[in-house]
Amino acid sequence: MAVAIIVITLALAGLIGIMSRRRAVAGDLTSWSIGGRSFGTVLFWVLAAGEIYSTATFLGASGGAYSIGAAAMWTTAYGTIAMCLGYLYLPRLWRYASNHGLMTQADYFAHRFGSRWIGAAFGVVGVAFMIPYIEIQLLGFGQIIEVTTKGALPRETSMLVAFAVVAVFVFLSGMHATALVSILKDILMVAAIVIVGVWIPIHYFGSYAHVVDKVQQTHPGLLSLTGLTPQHTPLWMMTTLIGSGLAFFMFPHSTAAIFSAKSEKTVRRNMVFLPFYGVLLFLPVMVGLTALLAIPGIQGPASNGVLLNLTVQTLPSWLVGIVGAGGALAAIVPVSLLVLQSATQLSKNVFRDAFAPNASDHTVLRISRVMVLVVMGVSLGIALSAPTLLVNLLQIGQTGVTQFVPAVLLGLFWKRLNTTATIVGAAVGLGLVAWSVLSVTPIVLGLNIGFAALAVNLTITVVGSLVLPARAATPAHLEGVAA
Amino acid sequence: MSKKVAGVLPLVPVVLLIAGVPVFSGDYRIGPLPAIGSWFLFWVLVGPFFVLAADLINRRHEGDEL
Repeated sequence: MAVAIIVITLALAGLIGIMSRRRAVAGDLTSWSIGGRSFGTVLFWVLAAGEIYSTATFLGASGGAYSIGAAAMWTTAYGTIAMCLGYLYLPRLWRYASNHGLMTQADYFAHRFGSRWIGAAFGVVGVAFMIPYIEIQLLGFGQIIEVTTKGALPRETSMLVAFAVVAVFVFLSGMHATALVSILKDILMVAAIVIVGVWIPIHYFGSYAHVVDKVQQTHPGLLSLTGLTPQHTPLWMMTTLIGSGLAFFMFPHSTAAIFSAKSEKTVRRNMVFLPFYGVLLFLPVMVGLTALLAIPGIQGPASNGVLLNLTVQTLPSWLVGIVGAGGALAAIVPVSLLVLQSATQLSKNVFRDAFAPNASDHTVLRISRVMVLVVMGVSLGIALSAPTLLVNLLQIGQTGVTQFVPAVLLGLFWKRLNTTATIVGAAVGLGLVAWSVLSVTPIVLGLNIGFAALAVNLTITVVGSLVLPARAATPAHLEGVAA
Repeated sequence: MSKKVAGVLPLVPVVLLIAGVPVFSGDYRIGPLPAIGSWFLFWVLVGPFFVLAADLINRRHEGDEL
């Protein structure tokens, strides 16, 4: 039964994706890449919600609660911080992009700093940060399908299916496919998370309060921030919330989702209503805590599977099918958005801007479509050969994109922002992040490394901009930037 | 109300949510969640209303400008 529901859902998603080709304007890069800037409140809402409810959240939040308890709670609150801050700068970012015809985040950097080479550099770095994100979604997809079908569809085969579905509908329909499949994904995902999040804790322990009481009795300190580990401190939590909240819209695919909105009003309205979606994020956390009591002893990457293990162990087959289908689409939607933007940045900002400035939009679109297959292939290869713990990978990606904050935020609000200072600040910030990943040092002086690197980055950018001379004139690329 | 208020309102939940972390970091329960979870849930529910208030002020100003 579960296998049938999952297979039908994936086929339906593929069909919707292919059919949405009718909405796209043939041969138009803007239409393929950002939906022709045409998405109203609902389509924009489901696209942005795809960011909040991906596989990483679905499996990572429950696995995180299982292995690190309260320290994983940042996943429930950073979205609210992101939306509150987003209300203040995203409408301006949309306006800037719309006024100047920008399609990608790298376009923004190239235009704002008046250099296509800067756009190309940020384009490459952005793609490098999106690949791990695609990889964890593919890994999550494989895990969900394998567990919910009880091995009937093996992990590796499932990932190949995800590759085929996403590659076909993104190749043909671009952003239109992602947006329409997001509607189906949201319906199934909300159903799945409510079923699992309500059913499992109450089935095993009668109420959420009993679950929490029992965890506090059996694992003292795990649900507090009183120093059980270096992550269990208020300082780490506060700096993680700030860093992750600022990074939320810094991924290139998130920026593209913003650019796809029909108007500033659409963006503003969604920043008001999207945070309510975050209420559901507490449910996988409660399932993770329930699993800690019901199926203890799981360690390492396997902890990301506790939600699925309990689901299969507890729910009837048809409900397992719905959960599996919802989880599978929660991987496919973000992957399609990530692949779409990686392909566009590689073809538009790297190929055209750096090597072939005279290439037409039609040529760029053709290369973008080939890049969809290349990016998917690379991500799939990494996912099959080097699978890693989901939450850690998510942190690495988020830590890296946090370093784009000064270039995006100060770029929108401060005309004096100096290009050299911004690039040096970002390079130093990224260097610190790379060092933290290579030396396995995610915490420095009790601070989240992303926050610490951002502080250094910001200091260099601001001091450098104040010391170095500002541009004498007000060129076209500064139109739309506040004083 | 001034547009400056609309610019500050969305920051209120951000500042209070983060500032409250040390206060709710203990190993006890509030309602159905660990203390820190309940603190976050409160702001997930209340935070959007600050943004909504800011949006209403902004829209009123846009109406005045028209």
